[in-house]
Amino acid sequence: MTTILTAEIRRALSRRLVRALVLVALVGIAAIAIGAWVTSDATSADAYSAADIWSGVDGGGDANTLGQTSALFLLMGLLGGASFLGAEYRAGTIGTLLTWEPRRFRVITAKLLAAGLVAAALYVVLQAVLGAALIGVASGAGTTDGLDADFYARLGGLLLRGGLLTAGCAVLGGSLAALGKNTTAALAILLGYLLVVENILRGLRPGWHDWFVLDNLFLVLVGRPEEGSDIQRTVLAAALLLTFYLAVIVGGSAFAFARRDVT
Amino acid sequence: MAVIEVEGLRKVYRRLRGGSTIALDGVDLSVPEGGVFGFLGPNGSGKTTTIRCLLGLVRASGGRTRLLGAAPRELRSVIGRVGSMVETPQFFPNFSGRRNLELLAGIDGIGRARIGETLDLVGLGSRARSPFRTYSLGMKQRLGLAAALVKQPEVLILDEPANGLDPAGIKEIRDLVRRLAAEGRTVFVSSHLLGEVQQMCDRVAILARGRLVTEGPVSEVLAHGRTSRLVVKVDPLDAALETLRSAELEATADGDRLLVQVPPDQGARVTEVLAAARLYVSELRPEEIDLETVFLELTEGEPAPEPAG
Repeated sequence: MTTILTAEIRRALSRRLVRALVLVALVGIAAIAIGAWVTSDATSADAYSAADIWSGVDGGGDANTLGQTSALFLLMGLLGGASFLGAEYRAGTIGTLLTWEPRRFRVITAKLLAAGLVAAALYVVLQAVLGAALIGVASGAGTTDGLDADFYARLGGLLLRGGLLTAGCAVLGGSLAALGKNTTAALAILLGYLLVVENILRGLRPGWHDWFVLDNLFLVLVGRPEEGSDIQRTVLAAALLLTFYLAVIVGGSAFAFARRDVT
Repeated sequence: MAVIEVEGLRKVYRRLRGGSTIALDGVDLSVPEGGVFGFLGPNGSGKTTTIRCLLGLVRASGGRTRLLGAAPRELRSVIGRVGSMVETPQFFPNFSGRRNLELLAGIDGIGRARIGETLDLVGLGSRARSPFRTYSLGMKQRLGLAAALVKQPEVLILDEPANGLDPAGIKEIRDLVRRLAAEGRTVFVSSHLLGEVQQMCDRVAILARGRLVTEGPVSEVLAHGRTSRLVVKVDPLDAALETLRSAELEATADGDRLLVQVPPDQGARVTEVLAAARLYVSELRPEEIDLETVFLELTEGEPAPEPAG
């Protein structure tokens, strides 16, 4: 398992899409940091502070930069995972790979695991870089008020939860791409559900909040119930529900992958 | 010992909108250890499907396959000893040939030195760092061959390895396949280049419309299709034709020669009849038959399997 997982991680890191996304993220990080530096006024109430970096959604009027970028990283994880598996089908390389490793459950597991690990690692590294840059801004051009042990603990928690969620998004995208044998189909189905179907249901069936993916996902990302939120769950329960949803889709995808003729 | 065993192999492809197509209809095949085994058949005859079943890429609808004694579910135990190339090899288009090979070889822990040697062996050393998408069909075939060879396998399964290669490339592949067989490996090669197969293979099997129509050493398969005719050169041709027909020998003119319908061991009777009429033969030999002729004879009359539904 280690060898095929290593090979898959190598492939993921060699992909142009991954490199392009990392480049875009780095440019974005630089732009955010420069923008924060330029707009921060250390002598006024607008001084860039810890709360602007990350304080949770209920921070009240703060920028919460890392929270907002987390949402982007989740989308990038989804895209990366779907593309990672979808590219195999587009290139027709699954057959070639199976002549080296015929144990299909092992192959799909390695692929999804690689997608998840790479997505999580990139999330943690890039968010940590952004966080470090913004701490630099707060120290150099803003205020260090709030940059205390509690802030770093909350930041660590965000990186952990965000990393796991980004990994989950990558695995979800990859599973759907393997199921539909196509990147675009995977993304269309998933975004169509999250942005259209779930929103319609939210309007029609407000009592179902506890079961919606996006509500649970944001609860886990923030790490505490949003003020005035309709969702009535603990973070752990939300995480377990998301894990269950993911397991169902991964299981279906793995089953289809194992049974399907490769022609 | 047979390295490849196929018994009663059936494959039915079912369509989503109903109906189905029988790709394989009870194929039996046994490939002995060592040598080059040619697997022939017209397009759509089921060659690639047979290979896919052997490699576990396609689930058989019936029958069984064994590769080095392993059923498809047990392939992992032998896959390291099997190198294969199925149809036009598919690799990641934006990665170089070398990178593609490294990713595959990494699964078996094969080192870079071996990868370099293999790329040189198939003549791809100088283009190994170019993206796969820039490769010609022939270069893609060479990379596929490299992927099959890099494991240094005991058994090689090659599906149309010469596809897209120029004549020099085809000869290289032929020489390489012969060399691999001489090293003691078993090479199972499907091809539609019959002349190549005749030169390269020790045994052949011919598949037509999902059924095996013949199998055996090349010489036996050729003999199977041999019509009992003698080629006779004699002058004048017309008089000789008349004489043979008078002696109740079935003969026809074919250019500057006669084709006489008798078994090869009855040449003496032909010369006797002609000599009695003061006609003396300048050449007398059995008609040579090539694999192409046998192939066409054996595959033309095969009934197509009925659609299953």
